[in-house]
Amino acid sequence: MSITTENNEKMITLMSSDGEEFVVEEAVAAQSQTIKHLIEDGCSTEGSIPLPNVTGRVLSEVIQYCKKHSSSDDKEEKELEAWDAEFVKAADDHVALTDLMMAANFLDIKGLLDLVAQTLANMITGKSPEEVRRMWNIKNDFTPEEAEKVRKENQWAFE
Amino acid sequence: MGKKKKLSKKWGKHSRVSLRTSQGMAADHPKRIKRLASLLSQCLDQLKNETTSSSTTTTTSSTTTTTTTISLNDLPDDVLLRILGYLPSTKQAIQASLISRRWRNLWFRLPCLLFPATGTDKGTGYLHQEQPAEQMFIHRTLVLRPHESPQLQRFYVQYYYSHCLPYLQGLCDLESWVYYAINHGVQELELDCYGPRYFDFPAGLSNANSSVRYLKITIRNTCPLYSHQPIKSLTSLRLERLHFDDDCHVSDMLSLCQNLESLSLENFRLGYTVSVIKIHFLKLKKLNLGMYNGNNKSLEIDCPNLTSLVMNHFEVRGIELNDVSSLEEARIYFPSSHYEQWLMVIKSVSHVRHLTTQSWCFKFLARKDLSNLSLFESPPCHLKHLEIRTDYSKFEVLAMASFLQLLPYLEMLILEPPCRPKNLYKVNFEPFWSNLSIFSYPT
Repeated sequence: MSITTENNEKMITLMSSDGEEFVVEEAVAAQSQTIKHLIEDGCSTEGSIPLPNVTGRVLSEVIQYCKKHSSSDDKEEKELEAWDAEFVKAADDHVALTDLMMAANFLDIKGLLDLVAQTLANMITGKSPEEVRRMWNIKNDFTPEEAEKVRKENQWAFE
Repeated sequence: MGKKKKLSKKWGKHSRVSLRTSQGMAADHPKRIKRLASLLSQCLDQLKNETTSSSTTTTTSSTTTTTTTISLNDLPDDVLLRILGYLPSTKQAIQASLISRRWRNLWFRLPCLLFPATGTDKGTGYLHQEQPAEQMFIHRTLVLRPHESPQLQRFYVQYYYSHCLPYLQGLCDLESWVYYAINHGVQELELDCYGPRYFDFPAGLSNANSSVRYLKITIRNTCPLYSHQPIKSLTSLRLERLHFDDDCHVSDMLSLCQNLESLSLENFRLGYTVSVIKIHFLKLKKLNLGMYNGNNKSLEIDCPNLTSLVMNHFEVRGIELNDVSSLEEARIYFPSSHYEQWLMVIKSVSHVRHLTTQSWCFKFLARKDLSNLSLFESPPCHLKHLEIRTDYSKFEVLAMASFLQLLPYLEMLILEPPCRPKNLYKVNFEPFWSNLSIFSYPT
């Protein structure tokens, strides 16, 4: 459903995978290229836009980010950077960040993608493959021979 | 009030979070913000209650548990590549290939190759590649990277010429890497080298005769740098710690890059035969000149489209700013021995809107020139934003005060202590500031 508020800012409703609804300004939501295209195609100005891949918890974080980045202009770049740093700090553990990354990718929000990618990269830096696997629950599907082969191929990198 | 009602209604009925804030309201109506804040906190309480109750009632819903099982491997390749691209070195991206099969060849598709130095040289304290292993690593990486890999965006090497290696070999290595990068469409080429006494930059830009330490070249498309042909693709050039020898006229070298929009020259040395540094560019927008001591040289700037100029301890004898008519922002720092040069620059940039400088100059200005305002062809009255580094000595403060009288349209004055940005005194003026007397400064 589309609501128009006092200063004629068009509102749209987003629905998370777990059924939570969020009413946001169109300008805020349109930072997501995915939603922007949906709006442009006229899909969902009536009724809410369902986002089947994004849970309410993650969506509220995403909206928080979009709001901040739609309301501030270039002048406050430094402040925005500090805000971004706080933002990823708040979502401190790697699983939450991975969720956020997934959502940012689905919603196609470039700034958020870069921000979270940078944060995840910082987390991976200095960790052994084994540690990375453990942190993110990744199955080691190499056979010992294969692993040895990869290691050999790139032996200079592992020294 | 109407809004408040609407909001609470929404909350009550649909447990919908309204995340709207009006910017205008935030700026203008603190009372309304307070009201909104209290309203929001109420709403949050409500939300907490509702979510706890809903989670007890809808435990069957699978969506509440999906968040905990997500793994990096659930992310699409593009996203993983984006993460790998933020790793500080290509080496780490390659190390990640041991994580699982999916990661094995992921690094092939990275558009950046970054080879920062890994160790510290004891003699110089300078980071260097642990030779020859590192060198081999770079070679191998370039060989292993398949043909179908994407075009390179960025190529970065921090390279130390080890004395254990024959000098020529080191040079050939670097040349071959640059050759690879340029052949693979690199757009940003960053070479950070240290060591050789005689250094031929692979691109043939110069015959600098001593340690080139940092050289960042941004190239659009591929273009052989090692030619004396104009380098059309280059729009941004940054040269640091270069030693130009007598045969290399920096002005000539620069004139090969006529499409430059951004140029930075810092910490370099020139040969004795060069007396004038000419910076003539039609398209240049940003110019950064820093840390140069050449008291027998002079500088000529002729850049009609320049919008931003930084001169940080760029000590030359004579300065001529012929055409800087588009300049909007200038940061000008000189040591106190260079008052004449400072005044020269300040006069030429008096049309800027944003000026940063230091205050010791003003005390001379007050003494010598302020009484004679005609020294300024056009007094800097357009200035809206002024930043001054000052240690608040008595004369400086008095001098600043008289300088400020020349600036009727100043909107922002920032006074900063000489080094530490800790105590930042920020004063906001209404246009046509009136009340400077209320502004206090530490004694």
